[in-house]
Amino acid sequence: MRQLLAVLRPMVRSQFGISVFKWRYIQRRERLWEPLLILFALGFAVLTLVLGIYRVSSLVAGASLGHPELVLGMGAAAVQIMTFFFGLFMVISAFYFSGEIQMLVPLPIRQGALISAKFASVLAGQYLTVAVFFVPVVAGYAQHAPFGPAKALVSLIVFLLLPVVPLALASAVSLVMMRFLNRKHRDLLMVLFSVLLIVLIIALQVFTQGAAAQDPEQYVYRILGERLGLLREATRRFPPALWAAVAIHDFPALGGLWNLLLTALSSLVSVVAMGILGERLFFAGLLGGGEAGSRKKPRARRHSTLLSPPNSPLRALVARELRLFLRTPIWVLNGLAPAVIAPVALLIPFIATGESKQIIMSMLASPRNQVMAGAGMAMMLLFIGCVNTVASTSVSREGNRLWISRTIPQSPEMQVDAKMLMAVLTTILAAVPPVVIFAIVFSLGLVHVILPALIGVFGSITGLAVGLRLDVSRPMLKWDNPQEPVKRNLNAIVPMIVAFGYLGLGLYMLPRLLDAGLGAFPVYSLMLGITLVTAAASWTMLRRGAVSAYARLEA
Amino acid sequence: MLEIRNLSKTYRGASVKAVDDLSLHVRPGEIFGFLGPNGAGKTTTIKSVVGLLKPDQGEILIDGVDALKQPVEAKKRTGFVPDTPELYDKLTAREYLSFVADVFMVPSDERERRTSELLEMFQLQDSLDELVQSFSHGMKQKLAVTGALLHSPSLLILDEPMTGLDPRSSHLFKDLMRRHCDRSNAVFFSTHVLEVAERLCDRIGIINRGRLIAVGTMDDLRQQAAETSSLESIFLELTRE
Repeated sequence: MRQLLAVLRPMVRSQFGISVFKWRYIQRRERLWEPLLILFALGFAVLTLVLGIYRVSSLVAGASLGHPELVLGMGAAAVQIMTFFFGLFMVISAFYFSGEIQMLVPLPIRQGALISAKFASVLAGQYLTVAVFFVPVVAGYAQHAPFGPAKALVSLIVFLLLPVVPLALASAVSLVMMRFLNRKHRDLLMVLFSVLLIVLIIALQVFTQGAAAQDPEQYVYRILGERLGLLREATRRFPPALWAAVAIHDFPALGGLWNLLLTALSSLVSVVAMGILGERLFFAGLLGGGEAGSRKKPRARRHSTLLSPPNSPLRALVARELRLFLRTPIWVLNGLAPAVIAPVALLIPFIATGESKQIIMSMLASPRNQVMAGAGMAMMLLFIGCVNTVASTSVSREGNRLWISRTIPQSPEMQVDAKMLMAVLTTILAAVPPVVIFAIVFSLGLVHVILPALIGVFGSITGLAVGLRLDVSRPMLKWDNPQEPVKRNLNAIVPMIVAFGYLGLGLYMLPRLLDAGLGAFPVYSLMLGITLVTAAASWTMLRRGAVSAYARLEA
Repeated sequence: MLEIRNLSKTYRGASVKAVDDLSLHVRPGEIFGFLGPNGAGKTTTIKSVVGLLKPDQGEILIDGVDALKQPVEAKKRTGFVPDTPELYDKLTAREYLSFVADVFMVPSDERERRTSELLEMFQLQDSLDELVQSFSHGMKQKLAVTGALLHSPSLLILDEPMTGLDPRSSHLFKDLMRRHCDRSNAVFFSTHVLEVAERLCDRIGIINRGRLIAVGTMDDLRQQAAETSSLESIFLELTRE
C-alpha cells in the first residue's frame, strides 16, 4: 500500500498539472490569463451541461408514470457506458504511452502496484465527468421522490463507485489487447481494435434492441405493473446501473442495502481482478511495444522506383501530416478517437433503452421537432469538430522537427492550407459514424441528414482555423513525449469558445425561425450560409496571419 | 553565393547580442568553415541564414536572392542540415525523401538519379523502407544530408556535421562537400573540429561573442594571429578572453 501511495502521489500531481500550476501561476505569476480562460470556458460548458441534464432528468423523472427511479437507472447506465468507452482510450494512453511509465518501470516497484496507481489516477480524472452527468440526474430524481440526508450519503457512495466497474473492465481489455498486439503494426492495430470493439458493442446494443417488445400490450402492462419493472427493463443490459439505481431508490429498505452491497462488491472484485491481470500482463505488453523488430532483408528492390511518384507540394504536405498523425497512436487517441466516440456515446442513452427511443420517436412525428433534431445533430457535429485538437496542436506536434517545415521552399499559406485540409479530413471522417447512426436510428429523411452534416462540417472549419491560428502563433514545441503537445496544449481551449458561440447563436435563432413559420430547408440553408461565411472568413484570416506568424516562429 | 551584411540578433530577454553586426561573404566553389567557441553565435548565424530565426537587422543574400524578403526563393537554393538531425521518426526513409523531393519540386527525371547516387554513396539503399526511428545517429545524419542535397542546392549549410559520425562517414562527408563545391556550389559549415576545418576549408571565419573576429585563408589567419603553427593555436590566440 505504501508503494502504491508513493507512486500515486506524483502521478496525480503530474496528471492534473498541480506542480506546474503552482510553479507557473502561484510562484512565478506568469500567464495568469490562462487559468482564467480555462475557468471561463470550462465553467460555462459545465454549467450549461449540468443545467441541461438537470432539466431533462427532472422531466423524465416526473413523466415516467410514477417511476422516478427510471432516471437514476438511465443516468447510471449512461455514465457507465461513457466511462467504459472513454476509459478504454484513457487507460491505454495512461498505461502505455505516458512519459512517466518509462521512468517508473526501471524502479523496484511491483507491476501490480504500478498499474493500480495508474488506474487510481485515471479514476480520479473520471470523477469530474461523472459529477457533471450524475449529480444533476440525482437532483432531478430528488424533485420527484423522497430524498433526505441518508439518501444523499448513499448517492455519494454510489457516485464514487459508479465508474469503477466500467473503468476496471476497460483496463482489463486494454491489458489483454496490448499483451497480444505485439507485432510491427501494433500502433495501428491498437487504434483499429479499440474502435472496432466499440463499434461492435454499439452494434450489439442496437441490434438486440426491441426483443422484449414482441407483445407491446403485455409488455407495457408488465413493466408498469411490476415494482421497478420499468427500471429493470431500461437497465436490463447494465446490471451495475440497476444496482446503483436501486441502492439509492430503495434505501434504507433491505433491497436498497443489498443493491448497495452488490455495487460495492462488484467494484471491489473488478479492481482486484484488474490488479491480478495487470500483475501478469502489464510489463509484457509494455515491453512488447518498445521492442525493435528483427532486421529485415533489403526490401528496396520490391519497388520499381526509389522514391514514390512525384506529387504536388500541397499533396505531399497533407500526406506528411496524415502519416505522422495516424502513426502516432497517442495523437489518434486524443485527436480523432474522442471525435468518433463522443457523438456515438452521446447517442447511446437514446439507443440503449427501448423506452427512451419510443418517447423520442413519438416526439419526432412533428416537423418542428424534426428540424430541432437535425439542428441538434448539426450542433453536436460542430461542437465535436471545433474541439478536435488536430488543428490546434498541428504546429506543436512538429516539435523539434519544425526546422524541416521552416526550411522547405513552401509558403506559410500553403503549409497552413495543408494542415487545415488534414484537419477537415479528420473532421469529416469523425462525422461519418454519428451521421450514419442518426440517419438509421431516426429515419428523418435526407434533408435532415445531409444539410445538418454540412452545417456541422463547415461550422467546424471556423473552430479549426482559430485553433490553428493560435498554434501557429504560440506553439508548444518543447516536448519529449508525444502526449505533451496534445494533452497540455491550451490552444485547444479557444476553439471551444467558438463552439459555444455557435451553440448560443443556434439556441437563440432556431426557436425564432421556427416560430416565424420557416420550414426545414430554409432554416438549414440559413444555418449553412452562416457557417459557410464564417468558415471562409476564418480560413482567409488564418492564411493572412500565417505569413507574419511563421516569420516569428523561431525553431 | 552567400552574403551576410551587418547581421545582428538579440534573443528576447537577453542583454547581450548573440550576433553583432556580422558581415561575411562565401564565394561559389568555396568551402567556408565557421568556427567559434561555445555560445559564440555560430548556430544563431546559421539559423538566421536558413530562416529559422528572424534577425533584428541586416541583410542575407543567397545566390543573389534576399533571404529575408524572398524566403521561399532563397530556400529553393539552400540545403540545410542542423546539428542534431531530428527527422520524422514515423516516416520511412523512402517517404521522407519523397516528401523532400516533392516540396522542393525536384524534376521527375532527376529525383531517381540523384537519390540513387546519394543512397549508394551513404549505403542507405537497404534501409529505404525502414522507419527513421530505427536509424542510428549516423544514419539519420546521412539521411538528412541526402535530403539536403536532393534538389542540388547552390548553397549547402551544415551545422556541426561531423558530430557523432564514425571515421568512414566523416570521410564521406568531407569528400561530398568537396565534390559539391567542384560543381560551382558552395558549402558553409560550422565545426568544433579544427583539424577538419584546417584541411578542408578554402576559407575560415572565426566568430567570438557574436562578432566576426577573423576571416580568410589559413595563411591570412596566421598573419592576423601572428602565429605560424596550427589552426588550434590561432583559434586559441584569437578567442583568448
